[in-house]
Amino acid sequence: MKKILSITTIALALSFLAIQTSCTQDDKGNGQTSSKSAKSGKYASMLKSVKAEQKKARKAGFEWNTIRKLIKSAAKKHKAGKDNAAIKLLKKAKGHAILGQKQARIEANARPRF
Amino acid sequence: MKKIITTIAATALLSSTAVFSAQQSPIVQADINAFQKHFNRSFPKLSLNNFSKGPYAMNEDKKSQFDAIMEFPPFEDHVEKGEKLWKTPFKNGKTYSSCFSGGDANIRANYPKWNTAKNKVVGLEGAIINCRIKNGEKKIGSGKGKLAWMGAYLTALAEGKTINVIVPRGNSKALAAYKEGKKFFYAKRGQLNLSCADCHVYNAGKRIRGNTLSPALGQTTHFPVWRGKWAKKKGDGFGTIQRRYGGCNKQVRAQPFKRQKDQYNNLEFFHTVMNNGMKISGVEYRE
Repeated sequence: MKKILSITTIALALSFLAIQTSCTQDDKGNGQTSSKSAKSGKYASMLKSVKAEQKKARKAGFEWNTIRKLIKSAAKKHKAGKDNAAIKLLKKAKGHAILGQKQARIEANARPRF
Repeated sequence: MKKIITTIAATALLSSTAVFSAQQSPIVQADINAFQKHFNRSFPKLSLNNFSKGPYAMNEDKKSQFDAIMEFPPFEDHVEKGEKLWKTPFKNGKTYSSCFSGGDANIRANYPKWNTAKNKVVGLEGAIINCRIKNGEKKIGSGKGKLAWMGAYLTALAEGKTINVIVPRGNSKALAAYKEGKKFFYAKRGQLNLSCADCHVYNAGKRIRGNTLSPALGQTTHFPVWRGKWAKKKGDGFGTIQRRYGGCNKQVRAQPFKRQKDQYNNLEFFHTVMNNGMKISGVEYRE
């Protein structure tokens, strides 16, 4: 009787442990998926804002040729799942687009210095 | 008698209008004088036409390298190909010459031109492309290849002719296009924040790494040009001036513009006008 009881207890304890582990893993998985999709969404919105700034710089005639290269590199990083690095590159590209617009404003009345 | 007087008066009026339309805008003429005076002051030993040799006029070693290459020019085959293409009739029997007036040898020195009908500047290469389209032919590439070969043939033909590009007096749109080109030339652009003038006006003749910066004065006298750098790549070495503009823009990390569009046409207009009075030096070698 004692044997039966101890076996049942061990079995119960093991199954409880198994259930708990699987639950934790599920939680972890869901967390990873949700954070991944959040970063992907951030990448998409960042890309959209970079392109909007790039368009303004192009319209002013002062687009830098670094922007397209940075966007391309960011797309590669994004494809490889390195969203943090991709977003960092997009931030840089956005900065270059804004600087191009600033340059256009400064150079609006460019003239010879001699 | 009245009729004769009226006819004479009308003829005189028309001819004066023709002369009037061909006159240079005084604002532009003042710019040309100031531009050429700046180079004259910076390089007092060089005559106006010496500037067409660019960096080779400023460095004896480079000049001897240039002379050695020009003894047996590596581009003659392509200039001949350009001549053949130029003289080959279109399917409708007409030739390129039918689109231009004043004889083939006089075409190059008068381009880019202000096109009154289109109200915009048309460069020589753009005019060649327009001529093809007008005669039912396909467009060809705008920066190198066949178009550059034909341009080079016209440049070779025009050797010794004087550049005479006119911004017509009283034409506000032509003057606006000229001013756009001028602004482009003096505006700093790209990540390196450099203008065309920063290198080719204020620092002309100075060294940039292993190269000497060429003066902007004289740069339009020998295009399309044959460059050693371009020959190393896939091409045959020839390129139009607008191809070079694109290359310069990339070097300062600015996004280049499309060729034969307003930005580069206006820039070429300004750039060539500044070289008015210089002689076309024919097709030449550059690094």
